[in-house]
Amino acid sequence: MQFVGGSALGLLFTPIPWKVLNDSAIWTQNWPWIPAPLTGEFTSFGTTCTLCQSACGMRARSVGKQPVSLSGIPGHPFNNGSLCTAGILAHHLRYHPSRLRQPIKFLPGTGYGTPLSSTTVVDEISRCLNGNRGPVVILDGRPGRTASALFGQLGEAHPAVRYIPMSAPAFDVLHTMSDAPLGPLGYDIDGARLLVNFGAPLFDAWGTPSRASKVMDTRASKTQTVIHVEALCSRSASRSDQWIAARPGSEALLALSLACVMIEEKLYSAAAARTIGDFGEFSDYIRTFSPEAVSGASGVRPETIRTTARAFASQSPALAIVGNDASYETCAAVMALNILAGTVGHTGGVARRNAIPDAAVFPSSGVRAVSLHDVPDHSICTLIIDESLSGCTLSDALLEKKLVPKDATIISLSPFVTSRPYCTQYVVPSTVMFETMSDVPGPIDAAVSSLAVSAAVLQAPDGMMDAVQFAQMLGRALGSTTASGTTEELVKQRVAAIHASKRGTVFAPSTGVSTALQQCASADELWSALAEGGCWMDDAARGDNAPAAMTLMNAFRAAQISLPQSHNVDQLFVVPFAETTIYNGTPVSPLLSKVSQESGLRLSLRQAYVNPATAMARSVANGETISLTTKNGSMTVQAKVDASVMPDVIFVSIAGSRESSVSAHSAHDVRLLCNVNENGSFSSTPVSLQKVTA
Amino acid sequence: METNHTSPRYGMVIDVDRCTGCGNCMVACAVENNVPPADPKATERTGTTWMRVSKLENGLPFPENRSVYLPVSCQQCDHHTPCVSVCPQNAVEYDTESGIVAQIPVRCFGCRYCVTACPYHARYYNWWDPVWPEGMEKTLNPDVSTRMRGVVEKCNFCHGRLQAARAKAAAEGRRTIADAEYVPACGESCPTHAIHFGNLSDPNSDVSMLSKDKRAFRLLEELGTEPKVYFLSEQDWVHAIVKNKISTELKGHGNG
Repeated sequence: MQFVGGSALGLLFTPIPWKVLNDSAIWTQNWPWIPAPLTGEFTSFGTTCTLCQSACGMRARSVGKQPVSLSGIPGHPFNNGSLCTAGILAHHLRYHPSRLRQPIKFLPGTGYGTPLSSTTVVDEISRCLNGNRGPVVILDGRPGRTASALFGQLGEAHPAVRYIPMSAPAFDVLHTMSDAPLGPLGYDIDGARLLVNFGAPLFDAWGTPSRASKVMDTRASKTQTVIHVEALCSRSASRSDQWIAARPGSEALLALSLACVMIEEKLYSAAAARTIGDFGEFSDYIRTFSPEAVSGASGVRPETIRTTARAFASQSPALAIVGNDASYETCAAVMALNILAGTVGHTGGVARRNAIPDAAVFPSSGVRAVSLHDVPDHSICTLIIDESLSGCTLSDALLEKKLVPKDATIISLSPFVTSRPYCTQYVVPSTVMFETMSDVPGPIDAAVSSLAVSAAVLQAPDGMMDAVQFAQMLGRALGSTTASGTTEELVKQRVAAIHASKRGTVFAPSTGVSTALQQCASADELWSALAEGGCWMDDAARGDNAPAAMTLMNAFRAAQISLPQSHNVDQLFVVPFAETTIYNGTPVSPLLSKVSQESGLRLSLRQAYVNPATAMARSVANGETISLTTKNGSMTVQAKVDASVMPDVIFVSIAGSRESSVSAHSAHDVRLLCNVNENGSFSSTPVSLQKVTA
Repeated sequence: METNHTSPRYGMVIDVDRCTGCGNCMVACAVENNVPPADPKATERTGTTWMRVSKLENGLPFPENRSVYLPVSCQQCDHHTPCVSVCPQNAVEYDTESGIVAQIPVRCFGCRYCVTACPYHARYYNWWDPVWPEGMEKTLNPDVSTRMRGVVEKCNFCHGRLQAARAKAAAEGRRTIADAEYVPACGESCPTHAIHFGNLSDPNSDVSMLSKDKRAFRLLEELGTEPKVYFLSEQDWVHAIVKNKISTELKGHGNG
């Protein structure tokens, strides 16, 4: 007994128990269900991100052909080595759990789809398009691609088909204000001395990922000032030189008030005013929006409005910008400011880019582009949408308004399950980044046109189409002729046409420098530079490019902006809130849980920002569940008490709301609670808040 | 600028005034180090984010409220490293070759003493087995092993990248590596260049000079752990909050 006890005690002083402990720790960490990384040869290749139009150059580290990490290409003219959070995770989309594997058909009023075979869906789409049911509209969320040219060809070849390219919402409105086509547009942020920003997340994934860094540098060197207008002290507001806290929904009023001061005090550009055909009518219209009249609704002091207007007029070139989720009314008012300041078509303003010189491949018909807002209500029988573009979100309220009630059909190309319960919808599964050749036209915050290319490195799953193949399929179904050839062949033809123009510069990642295209010996050499993540940038448009003739009231008659009769100071309002535009409404990598669910850095779905005073008045603590009720319905969300948001306004996240459900019309979507105006924009909606007790 | 690989002390300087709280560093870190997506039940307390960006507010009401973002990872304590001293398994080691506090998950048996000991809440216990959506495991970084539930993990300044840089230098007949050859994923991905990384022992390196800037501060300096992560801010209220209230601000964002 003594021997056994002594042995047991002595054993503790030997390495054996510690070795057993250590080994058991190792054994228990090597179970077969724990995923193991790929093994194989490391390679690296350059490409271009296609998730948005910013066309960031990226370098992929890969095992075989499978990318395992992505980083920006240093020195790239657009992103200079940076990527956004979605771009860093772009290689995950191929394996996203919501990936659509085969075509699917949704019937109105149901959230359940019927899977179809590839041949059946083509037959049904063909029957739908040839049934003489009425007008067909093709919406292109990212004009300027090769696929866009093919969609345009369909619009030209078929009398029943109308092609609508959708650029940034503000530019869409600016197009409707011009009497002649303006061509491609972009913001010349770098050239502006003063930026008045109506809610664009300038320091938070707006434009190219390096934009925030560039603006910080120009501000540090005192060459640029930024004034930010928003209802909360967001990342962008707190980093701007001045933040104007305006009530949500009053941005358009505030912009018109700035314009009113400019006209009252004759601070506008006289040259620009001469091009405005209805300047007198506009001046009369805008008198209603004096700083004193707007102050109550916006919460901004009249003197602040006057000071800002004077700064905007005096610090030339000044540029007013607006976020992509801004309402039609705000876009119209902000663009009117730029027109009055005379910065449209000038350095540091809204740049008029030269068109990409590819007319030899895709001749332009010269047909003037129209906006979806110009399409009569309830007139579209069949709507075709390319939803393969991440971050391209369409207002369901506007779509529903434009479609023929109860009898409309949407045909969409999407890598993910998506449906709209107000109509029949065919969803054709699309390829994602790395699975197809694709061209990217260029970022919103660049003054010149550009083109970059993303190559196919991975085999697309069976039955997936890219946008070019989708357009060609529609062409066959309509009996129309579109350009033939593979996507790569067509993109190469475009690149060859650009090379033949000898215009602009080309950035080659291998050398890290941009050189004149004239020094590029052949189209193949240009192609090689683009295919490895480089880009072609056009020359800046020469001379005075101010629009020759503008008619502002076209947009304002449609916008129907009016001052609210009264404002109840005790009323709570609910506002849909998108923190960043790139991945709201479209599926993203599940690893983005790091910045929301696992850290609280950004709002998750069904979370809302509430001001501490608002929360305290209703006995709501941080993290508690609250119920929000409007005349349109109710939903429960988790309150995130945050002093950066305006009192009496509840900001409810729309992050991932489409991803969370097959239907956009789900109980998780705050947009269903909000009032929608004539233009499909959400307005601040009165809401009642109640704490939910367990 | 070349450094002797036998004596570097790698450190980081984060310019808080340039950080926009975008979260790039968090996701780039997760990609590089094979940190899995959140379990459906994971919360802000139980999630795993080796780099965690916290919002720091000036405490004033709207509209005077202002905020900055503070990316907090393992502070790589240089002295009296608390997690090293409490680990019964030698699963935490201070690497004298680099100054990096390394975590060795295969030795860890999940007692979580280190989680409790870490004053920065920078250590994460794996409450769940790592799960990626089907097929997404092909995107894992082959240089880093996945870890199962029941072990603790944390930032190691992307040690795999240091090993790769050293191997490359050795293959080229060099015994030293330049600062630019070794940058952790968070620093590489920062779009505003707020994160600087390099050898603090080299008086001429960026990080060495920035760490001596008058705007520089460290978290919980009074504990004497000599963290090798510095922060920069020109804003007085940031310094005031960090000196007086930082432990309160970070409470609730930690793990365990």
